[in-house]
Amino acid sequence: MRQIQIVMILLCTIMASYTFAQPPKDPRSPAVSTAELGKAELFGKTIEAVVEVAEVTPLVPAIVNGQVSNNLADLHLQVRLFAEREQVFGARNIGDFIPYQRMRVQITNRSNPGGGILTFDLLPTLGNHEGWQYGSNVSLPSEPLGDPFNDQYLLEITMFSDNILAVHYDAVPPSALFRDSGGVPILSILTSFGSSGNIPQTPTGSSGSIAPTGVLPATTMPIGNVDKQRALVSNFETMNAALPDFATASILYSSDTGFGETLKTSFTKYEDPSRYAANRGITAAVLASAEDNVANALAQNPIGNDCNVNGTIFPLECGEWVEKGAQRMFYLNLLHELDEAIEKVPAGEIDAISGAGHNWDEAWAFWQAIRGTATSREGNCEGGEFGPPANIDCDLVDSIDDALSAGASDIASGGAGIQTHISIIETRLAQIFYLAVYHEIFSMRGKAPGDVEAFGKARAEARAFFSNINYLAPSFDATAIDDREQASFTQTRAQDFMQRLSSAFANILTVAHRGNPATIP
Amino acid sequence: MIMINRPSSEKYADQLVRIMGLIGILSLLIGCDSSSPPLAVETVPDFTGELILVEDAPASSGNMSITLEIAPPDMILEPTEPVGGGLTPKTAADIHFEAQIRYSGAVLGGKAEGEFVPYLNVNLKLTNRDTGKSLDTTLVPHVGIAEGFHYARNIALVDTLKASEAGYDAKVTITAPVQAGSSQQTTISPGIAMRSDIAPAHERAGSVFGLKPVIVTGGFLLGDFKTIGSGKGGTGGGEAGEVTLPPTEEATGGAYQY
Repeated sequence: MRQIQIVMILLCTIMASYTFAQPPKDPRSPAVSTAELGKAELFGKTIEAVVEVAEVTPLVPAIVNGQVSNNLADLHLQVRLFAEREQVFGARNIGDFIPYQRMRVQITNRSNPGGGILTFDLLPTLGNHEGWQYGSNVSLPSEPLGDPFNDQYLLEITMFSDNILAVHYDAVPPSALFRDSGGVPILSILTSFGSSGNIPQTPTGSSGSIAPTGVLPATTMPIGNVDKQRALVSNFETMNAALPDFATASILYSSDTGFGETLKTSFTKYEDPSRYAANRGITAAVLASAEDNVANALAQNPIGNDCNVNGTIFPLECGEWVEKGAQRMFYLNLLHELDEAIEKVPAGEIDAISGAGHNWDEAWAFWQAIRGTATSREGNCEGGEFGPPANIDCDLVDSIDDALSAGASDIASGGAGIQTHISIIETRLAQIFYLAVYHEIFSMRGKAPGDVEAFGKARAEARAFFSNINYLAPSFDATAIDDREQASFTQTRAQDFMQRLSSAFANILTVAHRGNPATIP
Repeated sequence: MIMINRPSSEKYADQLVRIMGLIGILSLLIGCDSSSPPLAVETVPDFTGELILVEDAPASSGNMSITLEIAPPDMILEPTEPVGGGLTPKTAADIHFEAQIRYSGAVLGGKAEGEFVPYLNVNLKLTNRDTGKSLDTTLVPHVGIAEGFHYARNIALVDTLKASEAGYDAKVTITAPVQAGSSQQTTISPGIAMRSDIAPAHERAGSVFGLKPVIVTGGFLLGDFKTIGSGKGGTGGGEAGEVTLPPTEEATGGAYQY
């Protein structure tokens, strides 16, 4: 009798083990161990979120989230959230799990609206082999008698921090990751979780039989809250869009952005040379006309030899001075934030509330204004006007984006090496403005004889772009582009101007960073 | 002359105030008794660095390490609803008690040595050895660049437990994360699920994910804070750094049955 009991116990144990290892699942579910649906690099590339789908995974407890059980699940969805760098966001090693986040999943059936929308949170899951992840088995929202793997779904994953951690002030995390509850988008993807979809698939990048059909990029910056700076940039864009309605643009220029500050008051602050590192050479004389140029352009007053000449108004020129003049202010703002960031790092003030992390975020926000007005032509040297072939370094805009992200990462881990990124940003910005001048010289030369308006617009742009970088070559004589006489701006003068300008910036721009003046028509 | 009819309760209140005043004066006289020797150290001296009570004590069969340490109170951004009550501000606290619970390698869900073990429930009991008075509290998850993730709390030690010549006992009780769906879920242990390769109880026995709590004990004297920087750790605990595995009888409850 006792032997029978032992055999029965053994049998039950084996059956239980088998049941545990082979959970029931939808027989139509894809046979894929793990497939990546997409990933997002977050917070200045300090954290990576990888979204994966896999076969139903037996979990204990079997019913989680109050709605999904192993027995009824179609697949397993998981997010691996881990540090991409050492010593960031509380992590010690690359690959360390980032805990205490809430992963909200929303799956919308796009093929059959009757399938509905499923919304739930992934849970922290622990496995000996897989480690910590956010995961859950999922029963796809499909029609009761339908095949869930024939439908297409919009999968959206958003990460929320519910402010449950205590945060030391030395941490950058007093920011979106651990403090805000607004949610950080991780992934938005159209996918059919099966192999025999009735909707055309784009299998690019797919793995196994699961085919993601489109991934939207996630936001990587800013790390903290820069709503105020974003409001300034937004107001600038609105003001710019209002042109040539100068009356409306003027009102917007002096309107509160919602944070007790107008574009004008913000810009005026940055006319103070003490806001910049002394070694920049940004003096009171350099700044004297900075904000005035914008205000005068809006009022259609003379700006040097532009905008208003003896009472004759040239609206296109005024408009350029509004846009490029404001861009100059954002550039100065950006430089100020870089200077403050580098000053705070040695003191360990790196948090994203008031430390270097915040300055870096602000620099990023101001860069968005410049980014919008630094066209892809200047930023990425499109077209053949910069020399045959376009042999200067390109991808300037991307380079600045990358440097800002990398700098944010460095600050998050203490700030060592931040100067490298600052140098890249400064050089690239100078290069963009230099190339913008170059492009406008080309443009001036390309205008039809007698097209005074178009010539004047290009000239005003060239002068406005040059004003951004004039302080880097204070002794450079720019009078060649002061002349309003189109006929006098000959090829020789244009080429000579750019040759001298190129030489003046030789200490900033390498040969590879310059165009070839000989190509100017 | 204005007569005021005072309710009798007010008269009693007056008498009570007088009695309390007498008691206060008597207390002061007793307190001034020259036969009671003053404590050598009556406050936590200003200090920098960390007082290590228990350093890298192996837990979970050596798969994890636990360090207990005391740092100066720090400025903390408080969570919305701190488990175990509001955090003591830096200005009111005299110590920041930390438990660093980290993986020793790629086991039990860890990926590398030094990785933080999250979602644990960590409780601290500090006892004044002179008076026997105790403070029971929860160490809540903190994050910082210098310290990484850790469980900690700012504590007003002397205000709460009074100065102690014999020092203080520290007892940290670590229980496993609660299971998803459990009524014991909190914001810091919101309920987890386990995969099959770790779910069986025997896989986790003796670890911080086991069914029984892990207890770590240490001790310190107020005078120990003067030794920080000399390489010495807590001295008041006798056998500082005792890691109790398996747990003692008193360490019951808290763990969840998976």
